[in-house]
Amino acid sequence: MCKMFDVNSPWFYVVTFVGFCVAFWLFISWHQRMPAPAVRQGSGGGKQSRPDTSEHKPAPGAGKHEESSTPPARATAITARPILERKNTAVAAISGAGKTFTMNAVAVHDRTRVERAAPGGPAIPVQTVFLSTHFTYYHPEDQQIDLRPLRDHIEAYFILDAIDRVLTVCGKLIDERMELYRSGRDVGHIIALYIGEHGQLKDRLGESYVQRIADIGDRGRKTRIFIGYIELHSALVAETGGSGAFREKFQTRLVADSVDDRTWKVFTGDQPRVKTPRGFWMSDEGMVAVVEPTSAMITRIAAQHPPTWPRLIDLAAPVSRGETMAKPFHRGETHVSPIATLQNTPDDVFQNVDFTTLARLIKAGLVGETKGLEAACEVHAGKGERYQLARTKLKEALESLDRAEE
Amino acid sequence: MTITSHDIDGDGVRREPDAPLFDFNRLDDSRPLIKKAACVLGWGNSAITTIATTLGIQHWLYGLRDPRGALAGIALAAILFAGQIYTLRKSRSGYAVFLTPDALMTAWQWCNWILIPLAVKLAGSPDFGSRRWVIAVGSAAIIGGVGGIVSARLPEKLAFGRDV
Repeated sequence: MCKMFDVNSPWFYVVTFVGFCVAFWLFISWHQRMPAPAVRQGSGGGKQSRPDTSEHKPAPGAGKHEESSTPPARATAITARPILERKNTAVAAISGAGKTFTMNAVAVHDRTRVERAAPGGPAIPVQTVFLSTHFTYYHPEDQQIDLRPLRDHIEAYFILDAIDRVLTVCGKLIDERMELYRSGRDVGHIIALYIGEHGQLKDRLGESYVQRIADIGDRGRKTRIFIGYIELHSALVAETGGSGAFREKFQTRLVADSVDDRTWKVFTGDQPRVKTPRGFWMSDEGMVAVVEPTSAMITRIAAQHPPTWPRLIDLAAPVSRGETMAKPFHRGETHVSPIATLQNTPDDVFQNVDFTTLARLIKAGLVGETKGLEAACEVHAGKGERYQLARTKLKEALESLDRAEE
Repeated sequence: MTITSHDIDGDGVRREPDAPLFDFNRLDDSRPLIKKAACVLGWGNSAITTIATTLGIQHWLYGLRDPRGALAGIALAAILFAGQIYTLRKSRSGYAVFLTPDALMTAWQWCNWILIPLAVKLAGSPDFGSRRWVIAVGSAAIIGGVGGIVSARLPEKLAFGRDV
């Protein structure tokens, strides 16, 4: 026994090593039980590049906060909850609370899971559809969950007319699927709608939009067409009546402390009014955390075969010749080039990178050559083959720009 | 206090440093138990080599090894561990400052304990300073150095992700 405490004995090292290992094991185990909100602590959701160190300011009408904004010791991850369990999901908060970040996180996680109607039942694939006028696959400051590798795996509609058409298609699909539902047959794969900027859509598209959303909320869950996520502002919730019908439509309701008392009550039921730290939302079941999808997770999804079902917009009524409202989102619209996925071969690894645009940005002095290459091509500066290849392509683009100027 | 974001991934995007400490999801989420075990062994190894080094220094300076040397080692190991975790994904140079002593001490102790005796034995116990001795000890030192860096870096890499 004494030898264990004799620093000259080898036993001392053995016992100390084992002691440290046990301590580290306990430390990791303890830490893993802590909620890990990968909405980076302090980040402002939509503006994630800089932590928000300011105090949470409740909206006018918000009640007194009973607790500090300390994250709860335990919180389930909303991103880990399957769509079939979560069903229609509404989120209410003021701007900048992280609604869009949460929407993107939830959408990515929804693509990583195998959804099953019953334990052991067949896997039900998910069609991911974004409807938001502010949608972007990536933005270095406002939207840092990089969805660019998932272009073939998700549908994104950001033009009002396209959004309107897609919602119309959803209504028709619900009608068709209801027939299947009534005859006891399989209604098909899951269609999950992720709807951002509800307020703007409501204002611009009018009452028909509200009715379509209400219809999907009512009948969609029987036909596996879900509002996987919808962003609301507190005032809009109050406008909708904030009644039991709202709860009937949206089985999962998440809210931040910035909303008014009425919204809080409609969303959470009897939950006491508390501050919701960044990365957490209050639901009627208590606080839930948002886990940021990793780039490895996104890459894994991108490496899978893309869905084969038709895009919803393709199911819409034909548009008149020359109408371009429903054109798909293309890379130029983010002004940030997409990164390569695992499917790329070395020869075409940068096929989606717009080197001409990058060269223009560099020539305009908006970005440095190295930083620009690193950001656009997802390479690290050095002697690596990818970086050198990207550099060569950039030089070619710069030279062709020079020639054009001459 | 103003917290600033950092270009922690070196990709030109400034992100917050306050990512969760043990977010195994950041990596491939397969076999988390093995990753956890590797973390524990790596950190345990770092701690024990640090204690062994401080005890060795105490012996070199004062001609004895006693619990004070071990306590100094524990304190140093704690500082290096906390420093590495604090600087991780915040500052590459800061992380290097805390990682380097860890890696050096690990390399030194591995060489002392295993690699140099083994290499000398394998080389047929050559005379001290002979060419074969230099090659054997040099090889052991190189292997120890690489192993030290890897073993010091590996736990954080497993626990926190690919980037410093």
